[in-house]
Amino acid sequence: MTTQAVIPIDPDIIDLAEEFLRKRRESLPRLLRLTAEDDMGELRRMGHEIKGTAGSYGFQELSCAGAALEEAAAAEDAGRARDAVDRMAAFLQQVALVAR
Amino acid sequence: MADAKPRSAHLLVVDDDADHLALLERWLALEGFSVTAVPSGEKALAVLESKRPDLVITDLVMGGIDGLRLLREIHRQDPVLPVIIVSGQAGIPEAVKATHLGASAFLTKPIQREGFIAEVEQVLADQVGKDAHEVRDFAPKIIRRSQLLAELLDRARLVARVDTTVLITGETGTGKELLAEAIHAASGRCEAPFVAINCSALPEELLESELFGHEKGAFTGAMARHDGLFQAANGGTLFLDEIGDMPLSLQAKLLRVLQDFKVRPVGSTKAFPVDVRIISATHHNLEQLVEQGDFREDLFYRLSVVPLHMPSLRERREDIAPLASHFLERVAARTARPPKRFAPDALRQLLHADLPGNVRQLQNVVEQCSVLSPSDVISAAFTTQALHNRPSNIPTLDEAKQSFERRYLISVLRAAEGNITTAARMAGRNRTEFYKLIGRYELDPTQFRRRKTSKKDHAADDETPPLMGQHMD
Repeated sequence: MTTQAVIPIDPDIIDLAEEFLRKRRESLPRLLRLTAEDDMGELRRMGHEIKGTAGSYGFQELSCAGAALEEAAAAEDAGRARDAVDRMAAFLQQVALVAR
Repeated sequence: MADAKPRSAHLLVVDDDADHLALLERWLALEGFSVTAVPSGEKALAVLESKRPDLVITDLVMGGIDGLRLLREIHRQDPVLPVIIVSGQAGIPEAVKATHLGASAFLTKPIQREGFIAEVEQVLADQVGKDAHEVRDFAPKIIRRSQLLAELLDRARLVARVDTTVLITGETGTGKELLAEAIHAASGRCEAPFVAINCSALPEELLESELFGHEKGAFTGAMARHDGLFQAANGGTLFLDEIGDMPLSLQAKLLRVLQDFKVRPVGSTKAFPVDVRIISATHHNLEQLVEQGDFREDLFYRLSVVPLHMPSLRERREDIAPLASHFLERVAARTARPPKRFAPDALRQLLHADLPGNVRQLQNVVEQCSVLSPSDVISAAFTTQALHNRPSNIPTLDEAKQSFERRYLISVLRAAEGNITTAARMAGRNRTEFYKLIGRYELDPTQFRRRKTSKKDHAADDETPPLMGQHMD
């Protein structure tokens, strides 16, 4: 079992937050594929979106990883983009939500 | 999800990120708002066709119709519908642009629940208001979208009901008289006359008799008794525009009227009671005039019981777009044709233009564009021209002098029928000087000679005109 990062979440939106994380996990393979394909435009767009939305949900770490992905893709730096995706994957594996 | 007290406000939320859209929708629903959530600008416009929400909250960056375009579209249809823009980027240019285009607020992701709800409530309170109808009915002629003007009008509306003197300050062309009229119309005096006078437009003696009236024979030319504007405004409101330009001697007389509400016409020994509310206005800084000794301090305090400041157009750029549409509609109504509209880059130019003449200048620019543009969509070429025309409309003193001099020389030459000696004498110059003058303006004296009835033009010497040999040195 992996170490869990427990994040307290507003109980009013905990179902939405779970759903958001589920979709992010689902999109990981796509992110990895885009990194392999060097599709920097799409990576940048997705990084930007994750940065904003994860932030609003209260997932600071995921938001930062999204920002890193956006920046790496903007700089066309495939290595750093891959690092950012790995960082997201690690977070998504560990995260567990608890009502605040 | 308890505590959701139902509210009457209906909100439209637009975001192409489904997760973010769901979050905002949930937060708003938890507050009891009725919410319609759509994933694109196109869908938002479709919804707007059938139902008007009380507020639109839209993401900035979206595929297809983005947030700014949606904002423009919305305000083209409904200039007072508030729009909050949400952006993933804290980009200042976007925020500035959105505010200029009339966004009520600009929020940056990540969005915090409390801050977001507070912003929504604030915007709703400002725009919908507790007494929305009253707010909207007050000053219907004043186009407003900006927070600044909304606050001012709120104050003015309250002041209207209280029968007190009001001093309206603000730059030329900001609409001070419109505000005064609105206050009058919303006051208990609305059935009685609203009388306006510009104190800077008349010389002292004339202003005195205009205001206070005069007896027959009070001064040369006073052929009949004249009641004066105080009497004319009796029961109503007297608007004293450019009060800062009122001469000190009249200020003293005005102060006496404000102290005992009795008016003594020029040349009369009797004073008549008047019941008039005074609203005055000035583009000067009256406090400064008081300091300089150009304005009576006691009168200043009497007049400015309630001071209201009309903001310049620079301070309320979000009002430019609705004002421009309003003026376009007015031109359309006058010409009985459908209103023209500004192309986006033309409107952008207006939004960023330097408009020292404020609303009045904007009105001139818009009307000029509307009249000159052959197409229904006014292109930026017309706004550029109209905006840049302005400085050249007012020539420099040298330009004005030259233009006058040229016209003068032409009329002299015409009167002298091209004879230099005569023309020079008329102008009080010697011939050499006169030659120099007409040379400077490239005027050809032969062109002013009267032609013979024959078809041939007898170009003759300057000193011997072909007709009427009435002149010789």
